[in-house]
Amino acid sequence: MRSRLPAPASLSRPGIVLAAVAAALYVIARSTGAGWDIVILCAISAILVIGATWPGIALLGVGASARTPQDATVGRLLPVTIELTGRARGLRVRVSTDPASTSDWSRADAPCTGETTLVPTVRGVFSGLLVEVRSSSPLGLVAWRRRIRVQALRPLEVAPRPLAVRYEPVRGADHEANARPRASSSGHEETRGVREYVDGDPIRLVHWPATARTGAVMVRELEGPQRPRLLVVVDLRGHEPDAETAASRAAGLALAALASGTRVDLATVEPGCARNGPVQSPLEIGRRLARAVPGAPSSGPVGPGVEVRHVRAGGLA
Amino acid sequence: MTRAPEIPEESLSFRIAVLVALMTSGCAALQQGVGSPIVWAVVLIGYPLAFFVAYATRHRRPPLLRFIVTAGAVLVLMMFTASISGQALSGFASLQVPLAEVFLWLLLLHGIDSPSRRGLLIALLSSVVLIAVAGVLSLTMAIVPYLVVWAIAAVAALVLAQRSALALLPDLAARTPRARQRAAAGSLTAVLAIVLVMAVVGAALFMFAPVAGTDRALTFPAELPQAESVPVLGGLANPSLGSSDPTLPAQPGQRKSRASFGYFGFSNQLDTATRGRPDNTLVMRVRASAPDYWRAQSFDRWDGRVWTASRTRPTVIRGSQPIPIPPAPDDGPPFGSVGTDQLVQTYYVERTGPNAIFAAATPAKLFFSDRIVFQMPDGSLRAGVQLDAGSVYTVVSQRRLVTVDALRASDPVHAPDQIQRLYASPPVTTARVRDLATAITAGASTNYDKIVALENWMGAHTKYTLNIPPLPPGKDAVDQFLFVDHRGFCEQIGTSLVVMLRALGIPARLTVGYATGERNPFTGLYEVRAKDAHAWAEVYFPGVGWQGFDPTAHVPLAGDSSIDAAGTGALAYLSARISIPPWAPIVVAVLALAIAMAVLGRFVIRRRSRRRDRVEPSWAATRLARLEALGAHRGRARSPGETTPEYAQALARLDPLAQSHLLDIARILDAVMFSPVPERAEDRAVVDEALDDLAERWRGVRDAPERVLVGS
Repeated sequence: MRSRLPAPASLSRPGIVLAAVAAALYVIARSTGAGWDIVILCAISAILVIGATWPGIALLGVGASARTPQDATVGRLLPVTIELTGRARGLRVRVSTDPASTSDWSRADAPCTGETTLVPTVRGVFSGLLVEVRSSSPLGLVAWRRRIRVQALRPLEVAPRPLAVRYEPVRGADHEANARPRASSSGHEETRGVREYVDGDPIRLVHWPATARTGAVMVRELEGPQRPRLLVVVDLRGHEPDAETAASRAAGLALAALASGTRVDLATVEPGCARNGPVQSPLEIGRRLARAVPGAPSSGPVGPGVEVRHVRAGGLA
Repeated sequence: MTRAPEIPEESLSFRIAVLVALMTSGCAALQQGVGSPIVWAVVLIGYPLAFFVAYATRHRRPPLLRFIVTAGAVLVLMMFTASISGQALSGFASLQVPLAEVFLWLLLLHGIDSPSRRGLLIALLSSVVLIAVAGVLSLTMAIVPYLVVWAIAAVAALVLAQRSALALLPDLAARTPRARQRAAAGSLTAVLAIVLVMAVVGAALFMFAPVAGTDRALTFPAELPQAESVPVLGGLANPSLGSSDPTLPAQPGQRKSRASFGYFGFSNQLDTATRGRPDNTLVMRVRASAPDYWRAQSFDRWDGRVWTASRTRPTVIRGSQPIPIPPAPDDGPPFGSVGTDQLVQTYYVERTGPNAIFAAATPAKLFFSDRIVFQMPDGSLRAGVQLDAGSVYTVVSQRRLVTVDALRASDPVHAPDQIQRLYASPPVTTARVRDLATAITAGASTNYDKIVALENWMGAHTKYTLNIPPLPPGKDAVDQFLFVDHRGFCEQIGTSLVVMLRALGIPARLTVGYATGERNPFTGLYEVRAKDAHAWAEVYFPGVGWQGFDPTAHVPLAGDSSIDAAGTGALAYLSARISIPPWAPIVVAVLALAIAMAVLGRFVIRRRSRRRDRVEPSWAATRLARLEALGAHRGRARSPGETTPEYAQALARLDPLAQSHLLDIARILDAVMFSPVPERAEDRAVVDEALDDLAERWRGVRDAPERVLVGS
């Protein structure tokens, strides 16, 4: 948790008017010789001094931590649990992943723990959250703020908002030929192997013998009799709005393909490396695209019967 | 552009706090003479009703209400116009009260039209204006209770307004009814704490705040409660003396002594044989930005016992406000060797006194409710009407910025003949007084140094006291004081200085008036009491003019004196008025000790409670931290976006032989951290054992950081 010292944020309208009244009182007192107006001026000045410093002093002792789920999607509500420490009353709290994705203000009296929501507007991986605590208590004259950067135990991965994309799997002759021998006698999918469970895997795929043997939850990897393959190559180079649209389109395409029973591979670029691999659940699609950054993706050697689709910042190829 | 509809204010406590602040400030203004009994009713009955109406109709504003408010505002402004059109206005001072009255009426209408927080905050700020108006008009300490109540209510209103604004936001944490009760109690505590801090900070600021009134340019009040003419126009009448007026014929067997608070010096003659003790009666208040002596008149003729003014024929001065005061014949030629400044003084007469118009030297303009005043040859002013209690007048004096250097540089040769003849002719006194004057000033080169030498001699050889023996019949008062009694008060001391200066050929006269009086640091007014009646010497310096000297007290030189801070003398003023019983310090000390112990005890209890409640990091978090430390030591720090299993796999690629340990650790920690079920003992054992093995295994080993090949 990194936090900056409290800083004045704004002067409220009553504060401005009160300061103006104090200035007017000074002029009146000097022009009329009214001693009581100096006394009243001192009282108002004291109120202004208290109103201007008290919130800052109160915020000095306030700390914050925040917890979120690991996964989020652009445009969808993300619950955030905020814990405030220290002792201060009349606080306003909000949380943000980036300047554009900010929750609404909530009120709080520290110490407390509570939940708020924010709607992420930017895709990406966020290692921390920014908790902003404001206070103008007790007089509401000057607002102070303290920005506390909270490091998440697990980074928040914000997936792009999937665009509605229609996908019809291509079922070519090669594919048919390759697929037919693997079909089981019942015509259903057959197990190709087992692997460790990842979030989003259907519970029906849990392979209990392997789980019992390894101690980790294992799931079956299936290969259907007529399961087409799609490789989505995501190239996010270009202007940022276009790149985000491309990520959303890629998400929509991958989800549509997955829903149609297609085996989907995603080729993306993550910080420091290109990545090409299968995705087996909407969650995995979201995470892969959340981590995707602009760069030249590598589609690698494409096997026979694999449909390749390029999604570029400029449009779907 | 349309304005967003205002949100009705639901907080009743906030509304009540604003109402209290508004009513208190309104009453404070009314207490200072603003408004008629109807306005009292408006404040005491109308305001609560208006606030009730605003609260009751906060959600739905009947159109009729808006019409009533608008029509009322128009009516009030018409009343105001009508009220001032029939009056002779003389600047802002005459508009203060009508404006304040209109403001009180408008606030009634505003109160009806205040359904929202914004309206209430405007009402609160209006209460600041009203209390400021009361402050401008207040001359006494009677405003203090209003000020205290207003300050508490205003602070409470601000606190409650802030709470009310916050109440519109959703709660971060669900609040229990108990928490709400605590919050309400917290508001009260906050108000008390703020008022306490405000008192301390405000008092500190007051000690350094600039004094009021040094740039006076706005108000020059003048008022005469009843313009009753004095018996002799241009003459001096002093009803405060009553039957003991020395100018009245004495009754057989009656001995002249003070029988009232009045001062005998404010008369056509001053008999130095009269004895008596002035009392503490407050005779007037003076608003001035700098201390000075408030002159009434001077005497030029001395017969060894009684001072009289040789010329009693005044000059009539007529004019509208302000009345310009021309230079007096005895002022001599215009002074040019020193600079001048303006000293504005407003006199508030508290007790009926002489018709002398008091003024610091030298009056130049007069704001007075009568069109005629009289100027004596010595420059003193007299009213043609009786100055009863409640009379107010303002004098603008042209003060000479006299310094010691300027007085020393004055050339004594060039005193005008008339002044030399009237004020420097050989006085009636004894030879030994003349000899003494010559002896004392033998070593002094300038007139100023001679005066100082005489003052110093009297300071060393005579004593100031009001208890002096009666002057024996036929005795010279100065000789008796300097050579026999060696005791006297201002009349004896001032007279002696004047007589000795005249013996040396230096023009001098005896002046009477009031000393500055005690400055009330809160009102900024000098409170002049009967005991401040005074007599002092004035000496003529060519090129400078008449300058006061007083061996009994320090006469401020205009060029040297000023008050820097408003709070100067505040503690002394209060301590002189607040009697502290002998047991009070002990009680205060015990209370302070008790409060300190209570605060300390609360602090200790809270600290212990916090320690008890402090959340220790979980077992899983500590083990994950250890894994990260080991991994970093191995050369592979955990990346920000890396999950525990991913990190474990990354480490396993560095050391494949540790793969099983790493996967075990990742699996267990991941399950424990994100599961509501607490970890099992065997899991703990597995993780701790695996971490120990890793620590042993990686001791002293440090690889190059892992590299990830692009496109792999």
